[in-house]
Amino acid sequence: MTDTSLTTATKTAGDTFAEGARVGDFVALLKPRVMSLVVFTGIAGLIVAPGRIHPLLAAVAIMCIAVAAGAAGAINMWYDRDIDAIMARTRHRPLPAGRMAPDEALAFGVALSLFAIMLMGVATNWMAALLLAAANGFYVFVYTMWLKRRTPQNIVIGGAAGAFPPVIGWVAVTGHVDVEALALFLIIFLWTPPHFWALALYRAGDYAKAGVPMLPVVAGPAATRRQIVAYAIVLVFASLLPAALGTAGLLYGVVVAMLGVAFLVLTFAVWRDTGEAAARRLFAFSILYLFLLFAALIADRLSNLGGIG
Amino acid sequence: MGARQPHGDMHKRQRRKNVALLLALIGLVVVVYLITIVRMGGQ
Repeated sequence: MTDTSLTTATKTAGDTFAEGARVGDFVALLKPRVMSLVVFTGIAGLIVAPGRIHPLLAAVAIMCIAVAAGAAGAINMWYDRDIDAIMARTRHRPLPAGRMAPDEALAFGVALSLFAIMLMGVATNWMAALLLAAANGFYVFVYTMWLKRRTPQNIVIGGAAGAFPPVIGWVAVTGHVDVEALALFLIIFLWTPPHFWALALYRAGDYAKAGVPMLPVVAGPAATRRQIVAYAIVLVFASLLPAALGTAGLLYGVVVAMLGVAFLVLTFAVWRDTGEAAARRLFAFSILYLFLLFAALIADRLSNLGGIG
Repeated sequence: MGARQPHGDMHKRQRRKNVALLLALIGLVVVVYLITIVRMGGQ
């Protein structure tokens, strides 16, 4: 069933792209919604890092992080066009919908990746460029090509790719990786499994149909709920690390403690409730959680700078 | 007339893509120029 569907999907996508892609299709390839969170965490890393950077170079660094993330998304869509055609959530993307030739998407992604990495090196430093290349390589080769279709731990290990942006922002300012930057990496790394498994809980049918071994498909919903709770507990403790390491102060600590309580309440609701509603609520809140956590980090840093000035 | 419509649409899309590519390349040149100026200033 799956093999036949995969073949049909690939063939369909390859046969009907003659219409030509619109500019909007190229924008869609960059996964703008995912990009917004990546950019925000990158900005946070750049702001909280000790040191100074020229505003123009900071803007270019953020643009490079955004473009590289989008480019990795485009290459991901090129590689996953067969399974994207099967899943309801992704079948309207430019490639499975047949609006764009696969080679066009691949060339677009590779070209943008190279431009972003080179520009990052020229604008800031080559350590930041190296980390940007590593993040892209990890997302494309380790997550997309190796782990995604092979193991239910795909998003646990693959989640590291999404955890790079604040570290890259930090290194763009300082030129080296510090333990405080690694704490920011750890927060996103631990946030990723509960976030994606909450989604997978109510999209398990889609993933099963496409043959993607997400945890709810392989281990079942009950085991997934237990794992979500475990990661959420560790995440809440890890989220306090920036305060413990002195990267952030009281404002951040208070906000994150409250966010952590809310995250745990929703997580335990998922554990108890076998319906879809709780998982949907947790998925939606998890996005807000990460956004507010990094917003608190930025606000804390800026308020401290204001105090000093 | 009706048969020409898809071709006209395709040309229009291609023209838009060419303009977008041109603007992106001009933007890149401007950004690299600005970076050079800032870095030469000791940043």
